[in-house]
Amino acid sequence: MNNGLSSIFYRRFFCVAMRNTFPFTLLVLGLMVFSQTTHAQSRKEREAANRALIEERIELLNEDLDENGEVDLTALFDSFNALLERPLNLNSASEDELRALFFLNEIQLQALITHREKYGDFISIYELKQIRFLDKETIHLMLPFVVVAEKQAVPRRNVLSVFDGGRNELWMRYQRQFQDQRGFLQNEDGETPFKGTADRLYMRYRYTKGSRFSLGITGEKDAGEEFFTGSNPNGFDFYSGHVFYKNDGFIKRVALGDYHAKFGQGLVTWSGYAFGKSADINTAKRPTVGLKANTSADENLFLRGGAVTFGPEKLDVTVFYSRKKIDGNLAESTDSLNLDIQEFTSIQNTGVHRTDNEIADKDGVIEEHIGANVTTILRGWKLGANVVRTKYDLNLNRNLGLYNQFEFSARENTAYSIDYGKVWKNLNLYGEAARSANGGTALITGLLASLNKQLSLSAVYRNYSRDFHSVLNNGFGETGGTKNEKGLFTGISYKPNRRIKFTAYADRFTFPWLRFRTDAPSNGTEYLAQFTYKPSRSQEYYIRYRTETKEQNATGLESIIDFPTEITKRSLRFHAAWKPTAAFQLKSRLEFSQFSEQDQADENGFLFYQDFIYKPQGKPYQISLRYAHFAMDSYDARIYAYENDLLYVFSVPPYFGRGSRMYAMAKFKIKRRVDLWVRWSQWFYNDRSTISSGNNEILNNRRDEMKIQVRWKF
Amino acid sequence: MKNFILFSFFLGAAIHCNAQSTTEIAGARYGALSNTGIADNSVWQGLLNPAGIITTQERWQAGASYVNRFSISELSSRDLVASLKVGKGRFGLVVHSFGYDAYTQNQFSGTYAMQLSEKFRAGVQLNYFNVSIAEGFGKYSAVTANLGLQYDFNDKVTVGLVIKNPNRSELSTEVMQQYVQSVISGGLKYKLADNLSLLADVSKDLDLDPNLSAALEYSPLEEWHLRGGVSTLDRGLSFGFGYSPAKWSVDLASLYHQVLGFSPMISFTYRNE
Repeated sequence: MNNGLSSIFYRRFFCVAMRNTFPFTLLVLGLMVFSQTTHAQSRKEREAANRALIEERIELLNEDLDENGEVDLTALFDSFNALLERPLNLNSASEDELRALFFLNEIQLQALITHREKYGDFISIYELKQIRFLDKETIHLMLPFVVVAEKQAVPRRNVLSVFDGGRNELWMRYQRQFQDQRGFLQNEDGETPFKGTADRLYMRYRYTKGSRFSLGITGEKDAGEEFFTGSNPNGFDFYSGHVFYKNDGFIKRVALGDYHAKFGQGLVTWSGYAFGKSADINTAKRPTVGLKANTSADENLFLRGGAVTFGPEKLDVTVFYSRKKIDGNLAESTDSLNLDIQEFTSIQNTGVHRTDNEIADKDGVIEEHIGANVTTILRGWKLGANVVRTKYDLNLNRNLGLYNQFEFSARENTAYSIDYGKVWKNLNLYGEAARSANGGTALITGLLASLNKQLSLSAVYRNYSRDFHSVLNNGFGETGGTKNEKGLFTGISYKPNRRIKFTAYADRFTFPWLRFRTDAPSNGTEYLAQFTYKPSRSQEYYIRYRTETKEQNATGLESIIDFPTEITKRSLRFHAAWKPTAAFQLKSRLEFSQFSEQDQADENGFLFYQDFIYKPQGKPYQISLRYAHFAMDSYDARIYAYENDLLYVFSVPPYFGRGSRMYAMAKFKIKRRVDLWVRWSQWFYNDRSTISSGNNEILNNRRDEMKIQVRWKF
Repeated sequence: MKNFILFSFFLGAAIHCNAQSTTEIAGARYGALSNTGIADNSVWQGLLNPAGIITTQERWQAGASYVNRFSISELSSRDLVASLKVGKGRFGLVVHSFGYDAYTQNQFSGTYAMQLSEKFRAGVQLNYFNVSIAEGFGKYSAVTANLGLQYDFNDKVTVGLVIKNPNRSELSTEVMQQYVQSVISGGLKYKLADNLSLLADVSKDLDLDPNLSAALEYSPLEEWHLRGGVSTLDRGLSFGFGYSPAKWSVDLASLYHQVLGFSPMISFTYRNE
């Protein structure tokens, strides 16, 4: 991707957008009013059923998303939605399209393709049962998103046809906390630290045509940020826009604006979110994604510029370029010979710009990436090569201490890798090997084995050297950063029948160099075991036990020298979900946690929550409620729990301290194309009189929050 | 009509009676079970789970109980409970009194429970509390709401859920602040055999550590019952027995605390079928 094209793009798209958002949006809306004239009742019902289905699938994935805070799974939702509207034809679906279903592991996927090659096109959907390694549960999960139909002739490739009969969506969201944080109040100097209001605003417009074309713009203002004033004369504090085109010809994908590039196992090119260790052992493997539009409001995890994938059949060449401003802590050079040279000491990725300091750090540094990927299939081997070169306009000088002395702290970096994958009978071998310009190396290799429809095994070995440098990484591991870690993960999944599922994993890891708060090379282990019982479609129960032991500097000692000592976190969870009536769903959870440090008293935690979800059939509304009590001796004994939130926002907040949590959320279908969400939530603590600290402190023992969201489809 | 008059009589008596306690013990049967059993059903569930007052056979039921905590008469509590079947649902009443001249707590509760589906029951309860303390410390009152659910998985297993006072109503004046308990509890009842049931509850009071309790009820003869239970929070043990011929029952029980000793109790229950 050349520089010129991307800058033209910026001038034409972003500058307009930033200068004057609302007129721009209205213009876009005005240009894109297309009629969809089917008003059949059956369609309405089907839509409702489909939406419920997607929510259910996403929640299922989310259940495994422990300890990740708030996750924007917009992209996932979008792709499910697109699939429901146009289910994948199993006879013509490409490997990538099947992979995007999210439910098939590599072995199941290859088994499906082999079946198709061997026996010809599918005649009926019931044929899926015949496929090796494809269990009933997986078939049930994918069924709504696939069809069996005759292969259609490839439609004409008029690029402009993407503007015919696509779908427009406009989202608006407002949220606010009732109790003001200290940053919104005047301090002793008579100043208000947070420059903006406590309102949080979000707007998103997107036009899509199937999975072929997408165009969108997103704007967000966090609480405390200015809006059309001060540091944000153009309105929102953060804007993101994209144009994305996918095709079957020589040019396969084109991305302009904000996008994602995710290749291999994420050692050198992975711009976004990825699953970590979870009760689903398949998530240890990074699925191949390639280029994708960025539709989330995450202010850091994306690329901005342009990218294209092209090539003949069985050869994909991708080149991408990204140039964006990031937040960095600027400082004068500490080198006495270069007194007037500016440097930056750290990269800020909170995404909030409320105080003078945060505003000063905003967009302080320009980050550029240029990279490429070549992927080909050779004798059943999928082989890829990646290279990414990263450059900042200022020197990054982290003022390294002993523990992080091998970390990336320079102006430029180059990282390159090869990745591979092969399915052989019931085995899937995959991996990636990378090297950075300074000589650091990273290796990950995994094996997935479906011994039969009931039993699957997974093993992943990773070895990331302490000086491996890569900026766009998200490699699998215990810690983020794809560095300074060696480990072997082994997992098992056993489904003797439709009712019972047993999964477990063991992960042993070593950190060859010191880490933050661990002043020696250290190691650790983590185990998880989960037993799930599903007596029927409407009931599911599971018990999960997890224990993790690591080393960390001893606390509470009067010693001058820090030394690591063993800490252990354990948790035991009981979860039940069932539907006593067709419209009513209940979910109960009991979780016990324990944090132990050598020579210190154990700290315990307890969480009990009850969810009530009411979705009356054929009614234009649904309600979900939670009531929870929790008691944790310390933050270390915290427990994470998934919460239902507005559609597209998913939160997994930590519960700590002592108190209660509740939320109520209602969704209304106001008109056929307009949906409204309202959510109120409250944290109440009876072990403290203020919540949080610094500018975020709330001088109250409760925190209430209101969210309102509208979606308009046209 | 006769039933209604009898019910009203009980109701009047209940309101007239002066009765209550901090952790309400739901009669001597549940007392013997360490107050475990929110997945169980009886008229005494008015003090445990609003959904639990649903019982299939009886038109109306009523009961009275006396609990003498740690054998100290000032710490005794008195309860009256009643329930009446109305259509698909059931109304329940509780009058609960605890204390003596210098400190009195009263609770009046009205419950409505109904069968939402063959296996699913729900109940809501409104409570009025008042506390009077002598020597000018004044009178306090509060209104709270409770919610209860029960679900039968099959003939043998029932689960229950109770949320008490989620809005954290307080008994407060300028002089002092006192919370009414806010509790979430879940429970399980497992019929191991026709004459043997296992009950287990877990509950979390906002101000206390979690409490786990478990109990067994065994009926060696059709009309005779032996009971025992344990709970973790107060390290309590409990035991008792009951005799229940056709229409009425009498239960005797005691809690045992390691330091404070025995808390004997007795209750009578009448069932009109």
